Amino acid sequence: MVEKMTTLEKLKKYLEKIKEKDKDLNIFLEVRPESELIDEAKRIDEKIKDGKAGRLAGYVIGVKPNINVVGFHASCSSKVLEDYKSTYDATVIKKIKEEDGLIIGMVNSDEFACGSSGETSAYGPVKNPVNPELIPGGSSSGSAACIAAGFCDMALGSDTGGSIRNPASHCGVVGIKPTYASVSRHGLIDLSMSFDQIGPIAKNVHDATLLLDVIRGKDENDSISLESGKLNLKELGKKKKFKIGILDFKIQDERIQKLIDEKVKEISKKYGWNVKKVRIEYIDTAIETYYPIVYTEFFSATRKFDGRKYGKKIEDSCGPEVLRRVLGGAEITRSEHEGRNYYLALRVRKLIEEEYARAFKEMDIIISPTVPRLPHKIGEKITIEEMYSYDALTIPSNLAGNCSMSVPVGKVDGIPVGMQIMADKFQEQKMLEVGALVEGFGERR
Amino acid sequence: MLKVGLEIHGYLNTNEKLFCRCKVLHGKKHSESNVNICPVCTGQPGSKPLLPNTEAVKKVIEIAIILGCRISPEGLWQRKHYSWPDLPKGFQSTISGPHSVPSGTGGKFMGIRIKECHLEEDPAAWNPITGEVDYNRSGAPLVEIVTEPDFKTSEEVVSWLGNLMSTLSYVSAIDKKSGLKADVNVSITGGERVEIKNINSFRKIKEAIDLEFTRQEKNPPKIEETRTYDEEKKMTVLMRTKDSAMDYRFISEPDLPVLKISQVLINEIKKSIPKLPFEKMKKLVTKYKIEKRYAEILTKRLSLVELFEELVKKVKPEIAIPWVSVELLGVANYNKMDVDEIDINPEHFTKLLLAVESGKISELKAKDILRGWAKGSSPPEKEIEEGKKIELKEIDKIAKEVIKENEKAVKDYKAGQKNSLNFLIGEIMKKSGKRAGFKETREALLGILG
Repeated sequence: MVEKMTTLEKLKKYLEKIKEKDKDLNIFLEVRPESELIDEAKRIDEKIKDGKAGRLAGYVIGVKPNINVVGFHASCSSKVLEDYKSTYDATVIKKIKEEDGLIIGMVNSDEFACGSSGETSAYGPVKNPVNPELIPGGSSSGSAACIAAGFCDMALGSDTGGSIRNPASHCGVVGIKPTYASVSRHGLIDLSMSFDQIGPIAKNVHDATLLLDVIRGKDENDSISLESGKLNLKELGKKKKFKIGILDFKIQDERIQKLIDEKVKEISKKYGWNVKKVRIEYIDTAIETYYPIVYTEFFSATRKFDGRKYGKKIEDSCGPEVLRRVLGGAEITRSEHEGRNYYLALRVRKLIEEEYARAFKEMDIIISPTVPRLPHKIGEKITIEEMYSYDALTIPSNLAGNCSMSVPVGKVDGIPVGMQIMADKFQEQKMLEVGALVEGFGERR
Repeated sequence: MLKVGLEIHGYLNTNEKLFCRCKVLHGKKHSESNVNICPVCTGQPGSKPLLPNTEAVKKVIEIAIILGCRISPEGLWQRKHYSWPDLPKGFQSTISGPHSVPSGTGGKFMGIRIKECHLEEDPAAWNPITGEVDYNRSGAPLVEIVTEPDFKTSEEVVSWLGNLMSTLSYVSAIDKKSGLKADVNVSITGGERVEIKNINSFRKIKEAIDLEFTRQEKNPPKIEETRTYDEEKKMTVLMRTKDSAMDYRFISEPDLPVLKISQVLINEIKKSIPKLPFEKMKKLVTKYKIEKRYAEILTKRLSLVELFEELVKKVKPEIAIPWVSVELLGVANYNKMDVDEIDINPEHFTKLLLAVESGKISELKAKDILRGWAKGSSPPEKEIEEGKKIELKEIDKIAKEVIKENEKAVKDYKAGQKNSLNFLIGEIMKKSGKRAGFKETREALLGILG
């Protein structure tokens, strides 16, 4: 579904917008040299004309800076890696290039993907294009904001505990966290290896699905990656019946839950969906289960940033949230604890995973708000508990390793609110079909 | 009483590294720095390990079988963290540690109990003087073998190690020529255990044990400590005590699946293991009717058996046996080396012994050539040609000269002192540059002296 504009025309439009608005929004860390972009756009347009173009021809794509793209700085929005230039392409980038996607540059994010607000970047906070006073969410802040701001068509983010879905919700765009291991992580700089997953953010379900279909699949360079089924775009938007569960979980902002409930009621009536409430045991412990694992794995992953190879030692050059996680991980992994905290957390995680597996035997989809609260103002002081609570509803999907997405369904106080649509492992097709039907009811931007 | 245990790292004989497709260079082959590298073995941000090299996995199981170990059906990869310039990821991937079960446990090899053996990866090579790091070896598959503290003398350690390395290299499981690294635990009755880290040759291992034994006898250690061997100063030096022991902060590797070892695979590998050298050697002793005194030497060193086997393909066994079990060992002793550290190409040795066998050169000359091989053998053709035996006429001439120059010795001989004949033979040898045959010289002298 390529728009009528040529790649070149679209690129020029985007570049102009970036020039005009990004000084304020602080979304891009690095835009590719204009001449290079224009040359490539022309090449892609030639291919389109000859009918030889790949599936992403005509799409302009932004990339989170924890993903390696040859020649770009994969800085992870940190001073620690400000001088690190990628020597290789992540597998997802290789696939995008093969399908003629045009990579425009690297977007801002929380430092090493550690954050839920976009404020922990060493290069300044990202602003929410919907309302620049507000945080855009995080950690894939720039990836969601660049779509909302109209700077590109698609973006890659990474989701460890909600980092794709959370900013997608606050910025009013579509974000997908694929099933764990269904997209290669080769080339994704680690936050927490047993949760990390690359996924797409786009204007609509169709585009996000297209990008996901390009990047998914087993990869020899990521030993735990698995093959997944081909996504069928033609099925999106078709009227179908589903068994829907509404997550029974009390959130801080009742207005958000009310909006979600109303939308579900409205949609289910139209399509004859069977809806009932569903309880997932132990998800009230999700945050407490998630962070010991993240701290531990992040500590391990960052040992290579010892100041010897990439110039700066992480403990000396990172921001407070990254430091908190590194030091936390160093404490948890001390041998005197005999691995108790990490392995206990892994056991609780297994319980939650089993709870979801049980629930998905009865229903196709579990729906909840993506984020339980509205975004705060940039710079506003909130406690660490409040900050971590942004991800209370997204973390369970990472713990379970299943797939979930955020689709915009309306606004509260003029601020976009996303609906989280979750399905069992490798049930992306079902999830996306529901997402496309929900999208039809969203307040289209 | 001395008690010694070993932790030995050997290079597995594989073509590729453990978690990437980069080549592993073996033996004494050298290449430029940082040629066989990729994002994985240099630990580039975002790189992930490939599934472990199946050859390496098989070879570790093979080793575990040979060492009589129980084989664990599941290998859980662990990250062992420490900070050192040679470590690209800041941790080493290993199937060992507090949350894992090593690939093999509870074995016994040639009288020494094996605690465990497991698969892990080699770090890079760091040059502390230039600061350069060479990643060619980074990620090469290693086997670590841990023994119980069953050794009672340094001699026992060295001969056992030699046999272990020969056995494992004989079945092509490890690459003996790439060397080994060992941590040596030394303790005496009533003292705490001391670990000497990272010693890389048989000779140094023996020296370090002997020195540490003497040191501990004078002053029995009261706390566990880790030391290093300073070869130049001929002493062990304290690195750290138990209080400041390294914390490796082991965690399970999230980027690798559990390594499953099926009974089918174990059986397959069992079947493929060739007859081990020590069993084969027993047969050799019977087959070649090797004298007991030589056989005893051979049974202590399998590498000598291997060499002997190669030589007797072309050389008569009775000629080959003293050269392997006496002369070669003599060269090692003279140079204060272990016999396994002398790099002898069997082809070179064969050529040398064929020249002896055919009478082309004298034994003395051949010993001279062998002595020159302490740092590795070389093709002997030229030396054989230059040192070839002189003719009888020439011997006769030299003999007459020597008789003239040593009137006293001739007189003594004629007076019945048989030893003087040996002296005269020696003089002829010297004059001829060891090129006169012993038998021929003796006959020539007797002919002249009557």
